Amino acid sequence: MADKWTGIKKRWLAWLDKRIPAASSIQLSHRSIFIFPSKMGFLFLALLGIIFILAVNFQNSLAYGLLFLLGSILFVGIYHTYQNLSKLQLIATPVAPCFVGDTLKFKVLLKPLLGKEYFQIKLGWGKSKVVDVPKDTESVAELEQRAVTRGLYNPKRMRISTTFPLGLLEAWSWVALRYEAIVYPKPIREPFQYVSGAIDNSQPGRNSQKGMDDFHGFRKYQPGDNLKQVAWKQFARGQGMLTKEFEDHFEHSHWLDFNATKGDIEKRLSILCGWILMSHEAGYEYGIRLPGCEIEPSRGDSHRDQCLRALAVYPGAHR
Amino acid sequence: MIMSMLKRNQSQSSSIEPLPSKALMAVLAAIVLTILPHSEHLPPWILIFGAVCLGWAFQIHRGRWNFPSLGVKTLLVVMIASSVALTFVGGLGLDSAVALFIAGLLLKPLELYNRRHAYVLIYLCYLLVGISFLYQQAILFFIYQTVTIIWILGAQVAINQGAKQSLLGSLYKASIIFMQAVPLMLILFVFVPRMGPFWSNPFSAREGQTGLSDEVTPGDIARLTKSDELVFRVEFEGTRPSQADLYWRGLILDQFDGQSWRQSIRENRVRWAPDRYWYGQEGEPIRYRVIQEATEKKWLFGLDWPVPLTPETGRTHDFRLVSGDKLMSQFSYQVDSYPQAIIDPEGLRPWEEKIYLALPYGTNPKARAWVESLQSKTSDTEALIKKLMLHFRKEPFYYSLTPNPLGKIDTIDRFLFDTRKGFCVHYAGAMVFALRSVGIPARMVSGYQGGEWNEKAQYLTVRQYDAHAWVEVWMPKKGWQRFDPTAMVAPERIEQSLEQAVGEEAFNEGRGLGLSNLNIGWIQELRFQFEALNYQWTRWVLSYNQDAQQDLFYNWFGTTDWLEVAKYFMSTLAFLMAVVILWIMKPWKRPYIPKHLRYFQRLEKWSKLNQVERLPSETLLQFGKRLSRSFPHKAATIETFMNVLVEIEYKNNGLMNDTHARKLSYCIKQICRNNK
Repeated sequence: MADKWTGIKKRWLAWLDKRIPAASSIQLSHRSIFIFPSKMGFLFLALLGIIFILAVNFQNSLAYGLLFLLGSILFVGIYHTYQNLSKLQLIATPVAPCFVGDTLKFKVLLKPLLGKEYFQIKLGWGKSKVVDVPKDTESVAELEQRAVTRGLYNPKRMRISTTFPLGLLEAWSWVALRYEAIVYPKPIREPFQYVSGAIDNSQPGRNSQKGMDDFHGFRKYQPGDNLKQVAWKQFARGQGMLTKEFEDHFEHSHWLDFNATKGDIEKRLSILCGWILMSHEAGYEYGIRLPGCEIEPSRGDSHRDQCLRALAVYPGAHR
Repeated sequence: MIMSMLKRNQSQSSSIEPLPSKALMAVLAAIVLTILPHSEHLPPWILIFGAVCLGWAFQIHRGRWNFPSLGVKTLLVVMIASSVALTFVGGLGLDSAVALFIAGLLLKPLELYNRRHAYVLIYLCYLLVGISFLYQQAILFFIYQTVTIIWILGAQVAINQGAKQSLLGSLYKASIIFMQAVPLMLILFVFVPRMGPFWSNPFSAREGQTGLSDEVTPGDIARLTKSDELVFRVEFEGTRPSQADLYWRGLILDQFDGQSWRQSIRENRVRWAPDRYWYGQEGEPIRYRVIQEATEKKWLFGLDWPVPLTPETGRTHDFRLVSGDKLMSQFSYQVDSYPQAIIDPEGLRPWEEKIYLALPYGTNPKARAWVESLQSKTSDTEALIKKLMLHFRKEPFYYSLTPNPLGKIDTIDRFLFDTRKGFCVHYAGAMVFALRSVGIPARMVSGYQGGEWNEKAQYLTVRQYDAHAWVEVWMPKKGWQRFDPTAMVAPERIEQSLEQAVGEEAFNEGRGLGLSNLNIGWIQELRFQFEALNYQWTRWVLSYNQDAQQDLFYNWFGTTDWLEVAKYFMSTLAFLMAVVILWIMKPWKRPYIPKHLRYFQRLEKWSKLNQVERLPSETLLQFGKRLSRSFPHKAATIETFMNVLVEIEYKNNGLMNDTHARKLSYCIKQICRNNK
């Protein structure tokens, strides 16, 4: 029984994939919009039944008139409800990456057809958002989804629906907006571990006695430089943004190695993730070494993102 | 006290789903609009109760008060139910059912927690509009209810709309939907087959409607409403008698107990067709066929002095027509009538005389005295009758469908000397009483008078509002003779149908207001126009039923076969749908696209052909760069094209000058020229 059900579901999804293919921008049309009476619509039909009995039993022409009018309104409502979704364009916007356990924020841009407005558009997965799309403006619906597993995350088809204007009919569609959402492993902040096995609670590369004395000179600030290293004194004097440069000791550049961690793959990636964040925050130069993947030591936000991305897409047991 | 009751359940308010406040106001207004027309037949306490409930709902909406608790609600329901029961002790009629329904509707806003509740209220409002049509169907009322329906529809849209949108916007949308629904409604109204009732109504909406019954109590009826229900149709073979002679005899109400007139119970010898037993002179008969609607009664109708021809129909000794079985469905029968015949000229049998002279002892002394004084001044019966009839014309007697109640005793006295206002039964009753009191045999006959002649279809239609009662008097040598005292008051009734007679009566009442005394031409004209309109409304819309539908189909399509009609119906519908679809799609209308963008569309089309497509996130310049990379030999042209396009779109606000146009047109030609 359950097999049969999943079979039907699979076929349904395959049919949907063919009919409404996934895309980063989708314009709803008669191909993708379904329409059916809502719960309130069925109650309305019951009302029509009562009025029908009233009209027939009392042989009342005006009651017949009311019956036919309400029936016609229901019929006309099909067109109006359909029009409240038709030609609405849904655009996926880039998603900021997040860590496992955080929430991914998917923004859907709703673009109306020129000169048209849309009311009470409900969209989302499960818990939905309701938005109005006024004339000639783009509206944004922000949907949230909890990141559960690491890796590239592609959300399911979302349901977009409306019962406007009468509430008697529901027009809906299942759209697959292509989002490129990256979920990093959940960071575990553990002390750095040397391959040799010694535990050092101070920072790597700081085990030499020189510390901050290794000041070497200034260079022009570049985006991505650690703010802790900005020469604020000089900035205050009006000399512009400068970054303090330290003597580039061999120890300052370190490798974060997969093999230095313990536990299963996920645990190891989590620890590496923690280390990357700690290194970045401290402004160190770091590289990562994963089996089959190596990223040369460097600094800056984009470097960090590159490293985290490498962790995210690292093949794991669950993938 | 109430306030403390309200404050107690603060916790409930958390369960309110937001319903836009404008929508809530619209729903409350819709309730008021739908209940107002019912106020006429509602006990006043319900209106007070309604005001309290709606006020409470309004206060809830403003956040001042709270929703009532379950206990308070139960208390209210019990109070309402028992009040309705006490008000309508007589039993469950339409009025009490409607009162209960409305009381329930008024309670509902006190649990208007969310959208779903609002929908239920909206639906109940629609239903109440439908119910109101059982009471009133006049054209003005119909217009009022149309406005109400648009308002309810507007409230329904408002429920669905966000809080930001205005109520006016909702009403506008509702009006559009309404307008679009009307043509379809008209088609359905005309074509959907009508059918007979499923079961007999437990609630009779016919209370006090004109129609026939074998007992009438004139003094009790305070109000008669017109029913246009079809009673029978007549097809004449040969010439048709004049409208004034069309007295369709149905029942003879010959027993009077001081208040009610009823048919006396006695052994009736029925001569069944084809027994044509006759006595006296006959003259030339009028032959006709009556197609009578179901009445669930045995009585049939015929003109003065009928002989039935169809088997299973018969004639009683007092010339009533009867059927062997109760008429449970349409029944058609043929009758010969002998208008010149003289019935019982030799004299009445003793038992007949006894019946037609019987009066309750000692009642109505004033009437008796008055008739005796009249008789003493006249020589014979005919002169006395003439005097009586003239009395109704000379004295200020009014024909009215809303006569004053006559009380329990001496009802004839009250009518003759006091109220002087009534309809046919009052006049006929008074005259029969007067004649019997001085020893002249008389009886009240009830049936229908006149009917509407359909020139096209060549038949006469008799409806409930043609119901009438008149008097038959026995005179030596002349036998039974017909007299119509009501005609003395409102002669129009004889020449025309009740429609006009009633118009006349409204006219008479207007006299009291001094309206028609103004004698302003255009007001009169307007009033007559309105009367005519109302008549057409009744004729074409209100009485559009199974028969009218079949007549219409016959006139239009020459057939009443449903399959044939369905074909016409479907093709009409298909044609209309096609028109509507064309109108919506407007295939002849191209959307307007500025010229420079049309150049860009050409570029897009070309690049698509060459496997380069613009991504939704790409700007014009980015796309241009990518194109240039794909087609290096055209890079310069593409760049110029894009730069001009960007300049037009973002610098000149989409306005193109001649230089731009020349450049764009040149570039696009260069680009699209497919030389590698």
